[in-house]
Amino acid sequence: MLSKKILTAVFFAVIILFPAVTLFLPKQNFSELENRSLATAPTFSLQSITDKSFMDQTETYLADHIVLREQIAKAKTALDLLSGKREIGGVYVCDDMLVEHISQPDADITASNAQAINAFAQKYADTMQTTVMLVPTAEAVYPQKLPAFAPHIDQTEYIRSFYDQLDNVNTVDAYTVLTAHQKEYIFYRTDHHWTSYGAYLGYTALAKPLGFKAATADMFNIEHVSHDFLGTLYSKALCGEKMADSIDLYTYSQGDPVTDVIRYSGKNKQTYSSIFFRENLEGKDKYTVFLGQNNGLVRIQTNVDNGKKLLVFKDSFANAAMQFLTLHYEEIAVVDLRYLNVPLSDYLDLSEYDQALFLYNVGTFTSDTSLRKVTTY
Amino acid sequence: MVFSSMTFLFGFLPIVLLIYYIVPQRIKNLVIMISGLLFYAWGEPVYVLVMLLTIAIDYGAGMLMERFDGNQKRRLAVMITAVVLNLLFLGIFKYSSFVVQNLNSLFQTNIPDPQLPLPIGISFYTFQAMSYVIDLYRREIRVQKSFVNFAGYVTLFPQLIAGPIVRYSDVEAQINEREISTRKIGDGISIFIRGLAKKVLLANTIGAIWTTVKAMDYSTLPAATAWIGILAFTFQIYYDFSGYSDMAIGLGKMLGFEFPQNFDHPYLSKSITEFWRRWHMTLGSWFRSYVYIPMGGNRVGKWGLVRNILVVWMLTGLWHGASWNFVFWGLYFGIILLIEKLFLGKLIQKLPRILQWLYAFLLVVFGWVLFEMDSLPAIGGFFSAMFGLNGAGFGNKESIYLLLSNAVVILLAAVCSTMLPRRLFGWCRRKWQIGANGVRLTTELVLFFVCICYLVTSTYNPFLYFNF
Repeated sequence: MLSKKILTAVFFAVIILFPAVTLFLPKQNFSELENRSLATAPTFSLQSITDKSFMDQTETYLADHIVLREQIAKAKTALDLLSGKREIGGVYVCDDMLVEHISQPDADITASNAQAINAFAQKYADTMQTTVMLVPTAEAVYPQKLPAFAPHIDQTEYIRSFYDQLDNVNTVDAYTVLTAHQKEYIFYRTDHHWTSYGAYLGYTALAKPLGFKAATADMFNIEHVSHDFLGTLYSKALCGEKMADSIDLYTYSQGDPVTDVIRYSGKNKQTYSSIFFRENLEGKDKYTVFLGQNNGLVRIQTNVDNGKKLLVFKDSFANAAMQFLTLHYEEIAVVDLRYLNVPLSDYLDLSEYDQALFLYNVGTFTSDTSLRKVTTY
Repeated sequence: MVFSSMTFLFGFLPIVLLIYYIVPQRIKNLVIMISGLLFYAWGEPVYVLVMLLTIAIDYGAGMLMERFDGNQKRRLAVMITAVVLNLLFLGIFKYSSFVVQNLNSLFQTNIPDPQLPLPIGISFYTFQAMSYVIDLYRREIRVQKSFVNFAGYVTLFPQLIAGPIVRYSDVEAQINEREISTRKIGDGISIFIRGLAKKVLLANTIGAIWTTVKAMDYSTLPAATAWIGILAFTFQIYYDFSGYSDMAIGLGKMLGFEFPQNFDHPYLSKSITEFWRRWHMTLGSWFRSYVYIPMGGNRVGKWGLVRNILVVWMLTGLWHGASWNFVFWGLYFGIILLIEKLFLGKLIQKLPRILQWLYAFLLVVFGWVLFEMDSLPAIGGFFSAMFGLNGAGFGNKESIYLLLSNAVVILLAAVCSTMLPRRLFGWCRRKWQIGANGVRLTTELVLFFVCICYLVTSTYNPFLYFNF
């Protein structure tokens, strides 16, 4: 029977050629698409055999290095979409954008985050005024775009109940201003971050509680630096190449106030002259054009010369807001607690700062357990 | 090693098959034994010794019975010793924690829990090996004098860790001599691909629904979601298990073996009695041959029958896992089977066929609740969700979303559990003759490539944390 012979031939060709080609082709160490190191070759030893780590490593090594891996992964997404699935890798595939699905928040983490912020505000009550802004994600701003009947948490309710747990802290509503401008390009289509314009809107919401007068949008020169940005949501879902994003950089038309950007890592520090890291536009993760890769502490110094100093505790949403906040401070210390491994006082004298801002997006905040460092460090 | 892994499909299988096909006939069983030991050691690098011990005991028992050929008493003693040792291993590794925990809570004692991890497939290979000793004692088969051949039978990797439970008598002739032909290999590949598709495309995808639903809070679970969840599990376990059996049967054919069928469209059954003739058939027939019939079967009067059925089904439940919910699950079916045997069976047959089917299908689905829930409160909670007794209403947005976004998979799962695909193919064949083979070939190739897509992406896992 001819058909059986063809089947046999194809079957053996696949199970022999796939591993053979994989074996002989040069291996990649890093998957840019996934932003992670790929598995290394398994190590053979009595120990690794008896504890089965050798076997597990072999399986992940094969899966990580199999030839055509990324193409196959994209094909799988296409098949999933074909079967009617609209949530792929935790991302809702909507008609004109990808939207990150935020899972049910952990009440304990939320409560301990509130406690940490309260303790911080209490501790520095004499010298610093503390402000908190939780930014809703695209899932909350665009519920009408989600797949029909797709479950999603009520982020406004979450933010409100979180704010209710805070004492002696200014709280900022970012939801209203973002929703009012939802027709505009305020969230990337293939990335979970807000765009520069989205960050600008967040900045206007901060004006009153932080006590500055927000510059109007037309006071900035806008530079379109990328038109083919495929962000984190693309990496997760592996579809929507056609929705590729553009990135805008905002600079103040009366001159960029930023003089020094100092990135600390361990005992070393490195100084740059701009908050934009344009070389990152060449790579996959183009959002890191804003302030670079996440880092425990970045100090931004400006020529504003008004004596005001701001301390920001944040996730990466805040990185895009620095283009605007730098107009109003002589110095901004940007702290990412997730990457901070030494006490902050090793670097900074906290008594110099008059304001503290906690700027997080709901997506990371609901599972971020690093906030407790804010008082212990 | 599981069949649906990259290591198996792109490493073990091509290497073993190539060697197996190349070596001369007389070494083939040695290849089977060595590959089987490697296959098992890949998953159980230490416990492979336990399996070797089982093999040695049963092989030795066979040789002893041969030596004491004329002495029935000695043969009996050898057989019983071997069976007891086999069961002892199974008991130590599978049931010791369960027994100790129950003793402790019953007598307030403090016996330390040994917490031995369960060796993969021990329930399968122990039953397979035991069939040899018992059948040999009954003189239904002849002794296997070659250790390699006997070890090859037990470690035959296609059926080693998840069935079907191939009895020695099923393959006695084939172990010594079997035909390997391109036709058989082709058939084997077909069956293997279909099994792989059942496991990877249907069981794994539909299983994701059950994982979601099972983790929900049952006190607020609306009825529709509960039903979607348990129906998803109903199909998941069928496709998982029967897919694995199909892969085993297909691989067996590729090596030249013919294994018994293990599933025959169980969800089309019109009574529970019929269901158990179609579900995990090799296990049912094992218990029938080695427990039920030796206990007198149904020729022991009404009360004897009740006893026999309850014992067999309690054991069947316990075979599935060392936990009370499996015992309940087994007894649940035992009781239904008894009732069907005593009077209900005749009554049901008077119903319209669709109601007969509904009766059997619903009872099976309820059974899966017992199977999946490991505590009484969970069982109660889930049943009350299914019948809306928890006050969570009929359904919500999430129920609709679950149904809509999985509609294709659910539909495929339902259709493929019926005779429809087979009828469709038969219809194609009558209509186009040769074209039908082309249809089948295309379907199987597409399924194979789609399976590979799903397998390969199992580690596609963007690490995006440091972007946040």
